[in-house]
Amino acid sequence: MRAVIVRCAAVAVVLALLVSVGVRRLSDRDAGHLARGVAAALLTPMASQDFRQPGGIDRVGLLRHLQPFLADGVVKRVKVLAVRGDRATVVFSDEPRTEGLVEHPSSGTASVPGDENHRYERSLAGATREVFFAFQDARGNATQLELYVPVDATVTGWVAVVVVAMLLVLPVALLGTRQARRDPGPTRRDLARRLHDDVLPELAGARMLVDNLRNAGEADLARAGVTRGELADRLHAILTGEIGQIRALLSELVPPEPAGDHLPAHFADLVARLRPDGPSPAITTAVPALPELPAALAPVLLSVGGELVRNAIHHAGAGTIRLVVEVCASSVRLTVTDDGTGFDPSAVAPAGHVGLRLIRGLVREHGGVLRFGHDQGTTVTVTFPLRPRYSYKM
Amino acid sequence: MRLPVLLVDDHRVLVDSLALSLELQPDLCCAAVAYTARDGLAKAAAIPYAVAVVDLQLPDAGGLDVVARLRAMRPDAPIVVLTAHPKADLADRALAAGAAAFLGKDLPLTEILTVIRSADPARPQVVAGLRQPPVGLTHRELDVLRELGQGHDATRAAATLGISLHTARGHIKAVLAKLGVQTQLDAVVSAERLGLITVGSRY
Ligand SMILES: Nc1ncnc2c1ncn2[C@@H]1O[C@H](COP(=O)(O)OP(=O)(O)OP(=O)(O)O)[C@@H](O)[C@H]1O
Ligand SMILES: [Mg+2]
Repeated sequence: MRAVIVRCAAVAVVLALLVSVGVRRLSDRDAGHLARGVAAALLTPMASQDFRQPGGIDRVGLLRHLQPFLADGVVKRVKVLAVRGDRATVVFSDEPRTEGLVEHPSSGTASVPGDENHRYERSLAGATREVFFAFQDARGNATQLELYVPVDATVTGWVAVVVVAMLLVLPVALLGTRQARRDPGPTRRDLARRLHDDVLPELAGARMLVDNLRNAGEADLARAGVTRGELADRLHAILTGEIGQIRALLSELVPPEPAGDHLPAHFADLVARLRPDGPSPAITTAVPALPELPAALAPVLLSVGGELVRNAIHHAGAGTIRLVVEVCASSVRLTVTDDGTGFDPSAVAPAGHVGLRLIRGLVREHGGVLRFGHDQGTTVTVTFPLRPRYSYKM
Repeated sequence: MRLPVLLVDDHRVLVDSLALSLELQPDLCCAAVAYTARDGLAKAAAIPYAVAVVDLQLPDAGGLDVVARLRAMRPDAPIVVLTAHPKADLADRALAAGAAAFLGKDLPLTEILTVIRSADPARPQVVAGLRQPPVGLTHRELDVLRELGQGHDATRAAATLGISLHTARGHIKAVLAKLGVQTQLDAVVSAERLGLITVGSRY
């Protein structure tokens, strides 16, 4: 866990440095970019809800996830739409009055319609664009996340998004969709709260029943109209509920299997998620299971591999992309190769384009080395030592 | 004559056990059980009771408000606050709102029953061992801090507490200064560490 926190802190520092690069107006295109950062943080909690069921939504939990973004003004409004044919009904929003209103399902970025069903968005200050993200809710139903982002947000705002997004999703999302789709697991605070608010008072109630069983006289029981057997039954029911609660807590607590075992599946998920529609580019992977891989390295490999593949898809114009993970004597190596245009990695990326800077920091922090090669396209190699000189803690 | 007790607490297992425990006492009985503030106030108006037991954390209102309103409705019926959050400032405020006693939920049954029998606002009883906070925050400052601890921002805190945004910001500033921290997040973290608030809870 410590490594995750250190890493998030490092990311935050890198981003804070970026702020000093300057505060610039974001273009409309950047509104989409900005929204993606927010969506990355929101889609995991969103996808675990059942939006078709009135009681299937953890409103408080969702609002808690939205809150930092709304507070910073990087998102002005959030809606979740249940899509049926060409009707998209608002099933959740930070503005509850919009729930039940119907919109047209959409995709990409659009300007906010001036119709009656968007009356609550008219009051939002500044120019705003809608950005849509399709996802499946917990029941597999077609659902869209609609974010209203200001187009005059500043780079500072964008950086704030990424910082918050990183803090929220890194620890979870880096482990790949399999685990990410599952509950991220309780934090210590969640646990404390559940023990305190649920388990303790129930045990206090159970203890009351035990006191009654011991102290109540026959006359008391007759007057109250209960028997000792019924008292014992109630006690039994409470304790059964308690055992269930504690079991549930335990199964959430036990650490997941070592991520290295599932590395091939995690990378397969990752590539499946990134792969654009259409035949090109062809993306192939060669990833072995690595049971000995330190727990903290698996998410790092996934994160770095993900960004490199994403870049190759978006920037290289490549026909083929290959991702390989190998273990040599005392190191693990990740290579991403594309046959695209190639680029100069020492050139400063435009403001707001932070992918490579983030992974450079991440790699360095885990004692790794990142190298670029370019004959015909781009080859990026990232090597991490596997010696116990670096202690990895999750 | 058995003393009828009104129970207002949304924690069903606990409150149902307490109700049964009252029925099993020769000198006490349960007048009614309410799981919400609204239901509690409605039952208080309709059903005779001698003592009320009120939880601070109710789904639809703050327990302190319920205490004040019960007190206004039935000044003769003492109120015992039974809470999962026995904190010093909450005890002060419960007594100020008119409670006769302030108890933690994990107290043994016999002690809870003893307090119910003897509840008297003239001689308030407070659970033993409440730590006086090491930092002197005002009630309002603690209110604002608890709002922040629930992930709310200044605007939302101001709205919930019925104060102006300007005032809320002033309280936040004072809290940061008193706790010696720079950010709201740090304030929440250190306030929880000091036992002033429970993050994620209203109390
Ligand atoms: N494989 C590649 N082939 C060609 N150009 C690349 C490749 N990888 C990166 N680049 C270039 O380097 C720039 C910086 O990449 P970086 O990942 O830092 O930012 P980005 O991908 O543009 O934005 P972000 O990652 O923040 O979403 C890119 O804009 C692109 O011009
Ligand atoms: Mg990139």
